[in-house]
Amino acid sequence: MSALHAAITGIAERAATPKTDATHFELLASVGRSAMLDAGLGTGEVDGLLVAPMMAGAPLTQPAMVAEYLGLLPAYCDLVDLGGATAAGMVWRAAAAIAAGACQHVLCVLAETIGPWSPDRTFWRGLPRNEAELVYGSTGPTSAYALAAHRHAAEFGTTNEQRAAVLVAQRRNAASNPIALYREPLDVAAVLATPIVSSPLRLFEIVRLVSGAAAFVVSAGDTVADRPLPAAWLLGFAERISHAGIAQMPDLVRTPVTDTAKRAFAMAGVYADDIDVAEVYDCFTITVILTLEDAGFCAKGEGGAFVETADFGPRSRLPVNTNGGQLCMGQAGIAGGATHVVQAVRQLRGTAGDVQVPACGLAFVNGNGGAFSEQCSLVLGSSAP
Amino acid sequence: MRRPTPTTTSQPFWDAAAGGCLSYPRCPSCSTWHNYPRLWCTRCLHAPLEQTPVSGLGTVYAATVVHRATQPSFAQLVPYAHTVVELDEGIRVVTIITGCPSENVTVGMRVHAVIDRPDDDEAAAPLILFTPTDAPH
Repeated sequence: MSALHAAITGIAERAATPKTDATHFELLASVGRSAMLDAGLGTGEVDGLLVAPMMAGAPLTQPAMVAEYLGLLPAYCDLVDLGGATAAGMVWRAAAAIAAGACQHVLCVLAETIGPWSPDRTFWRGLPRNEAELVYGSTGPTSAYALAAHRHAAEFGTTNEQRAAVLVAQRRNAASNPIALYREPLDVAAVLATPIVSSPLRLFEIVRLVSGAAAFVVSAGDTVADRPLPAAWLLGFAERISHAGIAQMPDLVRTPVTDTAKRAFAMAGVYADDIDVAEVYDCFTITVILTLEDAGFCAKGEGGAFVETADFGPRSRLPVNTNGGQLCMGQAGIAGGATHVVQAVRQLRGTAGDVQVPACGLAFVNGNGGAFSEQCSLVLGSSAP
Repeated sequence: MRRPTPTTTSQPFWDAAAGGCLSYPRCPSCSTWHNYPRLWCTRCLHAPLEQTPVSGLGTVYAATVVHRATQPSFAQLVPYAHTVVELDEGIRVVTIITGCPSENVTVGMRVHAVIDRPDDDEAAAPLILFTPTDAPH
């Protein structure tokens, strides 16, 4: 139980594009406005703002600059950076600020721009990973998650075919998603025929970095009845950061999701079996397998067998990544994780179209950042706690 | 390949390695090893830590053969076995396995450290690489 009494009342999501001519501010303003309209709120009513940071080299006071650009006067604002877990992490931070009495409606905005306005990616000297990882040929997230996939195969016998099944299932879900970049059906052989980038991971098992943006509004529970559309109530949350570099991870195949999912379920008073849909961060196929295991949707080590026979579709035993996830949407940088939050809200509202899970009342959302470093698990529901 | 740029904190580690000694900071109070180097113990806050030699022996914990490098200085090295080795002392380190085909590197393989000094720059820090214990060298 907690003092939470807040819900997501507005959502917005832009189609991903490989590049964009827009500035970061233009993208944030676009989705920010759409989310406010979706929540039935004006700039005079939104009194909280959470911003995902621009890439390396961005200046200080980003929330103030974004607030000014959007015409907001927030009583609460912050920069949130949990890597890919940022969107999930914003939901409970907004709810906590509301519970503390700081504000009533928090707009959360995230974007990535690849194009002429991309901030410079500066290589920072003095980061521990420079001496501990980069000089040994780390390729960033890809080599880190590949190490986990290799270990998972060695410990549990997980096969390439089983990992590939994740993408095959998600492509089926993406087929009816008009803003997904990759919607064509695939079979396991086609996935495994793509080049090995960092063994055992093939090209199609890796998200593609794109431009895009998303936003959502978290509102105080007492205001939900005045909103034009159904809300998604925050019933439970938990977060954990356990490391930054992959060699510092206590166990390469046991992630902090074991901790965060357990606490989020407990706070919500539910069990994994009660969940109607799981929208989970999917930067790589192995990420989905580990998340499903560690959240308790299947036994530890059996994630490969679970996804091999799973359907992931709206009428399956456990619908997963019903909009195709980031593997099909593309990953709009730090904004990528927002697609799982937004899709969960669509499911709970009943507006998910062809992939609507019947009688969807409870959703599990997982945000994952870094190399399994930052985890934020949420339980959202269609009814107030 | 690129060379490490030591910080004030890590300089003693790299200096010892350049002298042929692989050693990591260890807390004299609670015995916790630290990799990467720190100024004080992350478990009990004791300072200073002691640079303590290790045997150099370890076991492959996980490995990936990189086929597409993202760093330009590694493009010529592809494919290479980017690996996490668990030293017998319990410390995990990131490294590259040399001395055998990269696809042969498997979890559980026994390896030992090889300190790689740059030929062309005496002032540059070395690299800590690993090679199979039963590989010819």
